[in-house]
Amino acid sequence: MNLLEIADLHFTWPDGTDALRGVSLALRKGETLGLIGRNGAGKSTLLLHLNGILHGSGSVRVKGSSVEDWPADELRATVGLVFEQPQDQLFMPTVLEDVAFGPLNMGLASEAARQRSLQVLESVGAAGLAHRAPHHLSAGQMRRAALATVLAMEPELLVLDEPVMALDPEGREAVMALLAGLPQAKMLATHDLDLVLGLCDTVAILDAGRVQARGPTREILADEPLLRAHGLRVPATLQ
Amino acid sequence: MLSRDLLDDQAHLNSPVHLLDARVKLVCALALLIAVLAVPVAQNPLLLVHAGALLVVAGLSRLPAAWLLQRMAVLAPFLLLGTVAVAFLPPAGPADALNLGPLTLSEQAFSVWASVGGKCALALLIAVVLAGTSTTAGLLRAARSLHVPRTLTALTGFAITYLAVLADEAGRMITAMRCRGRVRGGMRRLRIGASMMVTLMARTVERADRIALAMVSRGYRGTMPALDQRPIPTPQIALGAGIVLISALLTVVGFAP
Amino acid sequence: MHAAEKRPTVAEEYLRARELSLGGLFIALGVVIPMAFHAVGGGRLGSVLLPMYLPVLACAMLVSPPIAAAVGLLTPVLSSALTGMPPILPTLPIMAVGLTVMATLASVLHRRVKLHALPSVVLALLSGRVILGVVAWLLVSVLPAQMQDSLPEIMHNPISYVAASTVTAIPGLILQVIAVPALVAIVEGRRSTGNGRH
Repeated sequence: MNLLEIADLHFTWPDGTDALRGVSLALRKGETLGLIGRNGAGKSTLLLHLNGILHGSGSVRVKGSSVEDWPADELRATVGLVFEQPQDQLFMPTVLEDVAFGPLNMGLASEAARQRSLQVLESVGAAGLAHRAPHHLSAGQMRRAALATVLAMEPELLVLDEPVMALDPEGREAVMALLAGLPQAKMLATHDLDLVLGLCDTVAILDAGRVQARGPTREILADEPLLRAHGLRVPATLQ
Repeated sequence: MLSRDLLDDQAHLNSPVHLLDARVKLVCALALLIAVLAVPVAQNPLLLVHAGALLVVAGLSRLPAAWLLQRMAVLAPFLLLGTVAVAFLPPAGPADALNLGPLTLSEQAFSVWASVGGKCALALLIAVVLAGTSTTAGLLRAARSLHVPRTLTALTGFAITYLAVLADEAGRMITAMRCRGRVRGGMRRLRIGASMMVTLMARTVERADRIALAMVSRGYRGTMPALDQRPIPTPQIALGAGIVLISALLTVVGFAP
Repeated sequence: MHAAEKRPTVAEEYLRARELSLGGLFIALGVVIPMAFHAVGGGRLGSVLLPMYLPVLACAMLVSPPIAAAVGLLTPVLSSALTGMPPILPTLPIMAVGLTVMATLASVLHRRVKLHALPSVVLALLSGRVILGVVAWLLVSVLPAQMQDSLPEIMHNPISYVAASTVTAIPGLILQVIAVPALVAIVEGRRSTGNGRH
């Protein structure tokens, strides 16, 4: 059974823009998928369907059940969304309170939520940040903290939107190593193809609201005509 | 100018007052505030007792004197204005005359002003010491456990969390505007200023939208969750109770005939 | 069937979350924008341009009346605590009461009565002027008679006081009347064309 199965998903914004026009995509347990495509291809819109925030027509199934049948809080815990801007993900006065936000909403008792949050912070190498104000952290620390807020909900599928954007090379490397070490299945929406090359087993190209190609990372990323047709370029390391 | 350090700039100090639980401090501050405000005009010297006690606390807190003075300075124009007004107020009659060196002023007005001005200064001192010895996040948690409505603490929490982010954004916009040179003409400047503010606010609305999405994605169900706080150590409870008791006593003494 | 019950709750949770995030961020703007004006134009700009009114009234248009009221109350209090502007006395109480009433009224008019943004702002600003007069009068009347006499003539008559401060603030009032409906048009326009999430 696939962890995630999307079949013929359509979504139209209220103004009539067709954002998704029949997306079909599957993800196995433990797999890391790169979802690539130009700006406006529908990547972010697709991600918001995975935890039931947006509902289109067609089906999105997580662990075999349609997202519509999942209790909302269990779905949010199973599919963890890490947003593009860590500043918008870290909205509580301290990092610890922020990381505990999800577990508390899931109904964990206060002490259990505190323990779990501290553990997760340690596992992402941010143990010392628990009592800091989130927006006084460095960009790399903020990324770690944002990741921790979602990991604390113990998701089985991690969905990350541009996870290393705006990091310096060192910070980028550190966050990539951190992601590579996580056992969860991951879906990375990005147009950073070097990141995809470094982390993803498979790649799907999303363009004009549809999956245009899907396959092993090295195969897809070396296909210059295919990439060019969808507004992408072969990463420097493969040229 | 749009400093990141508006918040918690003295929270790193290590003093007995800093170490007190924020809940204890908040309750004590409220009790002291009530005691100060309750001092009747006729008992003005009692304000000096309060002032002495508060200065001892301020001393214990190791807050730099310059920082304290700077924070207290916001009251200066008000105090100065009132003092000048009182100084030139003629007494209502011989019984009301108060001779201070070359000045003869109204005793009643002087007492009232000493009470109003003194209470304002002491109230501000209490607030400044409380703020200087606590983290904003800690005070917010304390307010929450003292049953301040959740909506108010949640809104304040968002405000202090995003203050630095929005200050940076405004700072960048001002820099960009300055890079394009000085604009002449009042109406034109007003228009440019207005459109800049609208842009800043529109971006802020978008950010608020994204934050709301992040909240819902992490299971927000209509109330802001909060971690329980650690129990307050017994000595601190005793100390707090003592301060509250003394404040209550002073409040009552103030009203005694 | 199951899903049909759930959909409104996701939207409701989102809207409730957005009221808090929007309210909180605009309180922060209410601290930041006056500081920015101060940095650009010096202290006098404050009483002329009423920069704190701007985020408070704009926010009031976008959230429900209770949140609008809380934003009106908390913005001047937090700003005073963090930056010393407005001074605790005598300006803070006047502003706190005024902004709370204006924000609540603006929100009720625009969100509940469904009045257009422009008349909502104008009416809210008018109510703010009335409140200014009432609070100033109250503050003066608690002072002992002799001190009242020593106050400048203009403080004795609330109407002349309001008139004078209104004349000073004309550019600021114009700023609100232009900027607030402009923002509301942008935000509500974006929502109806669907680039917003809900």
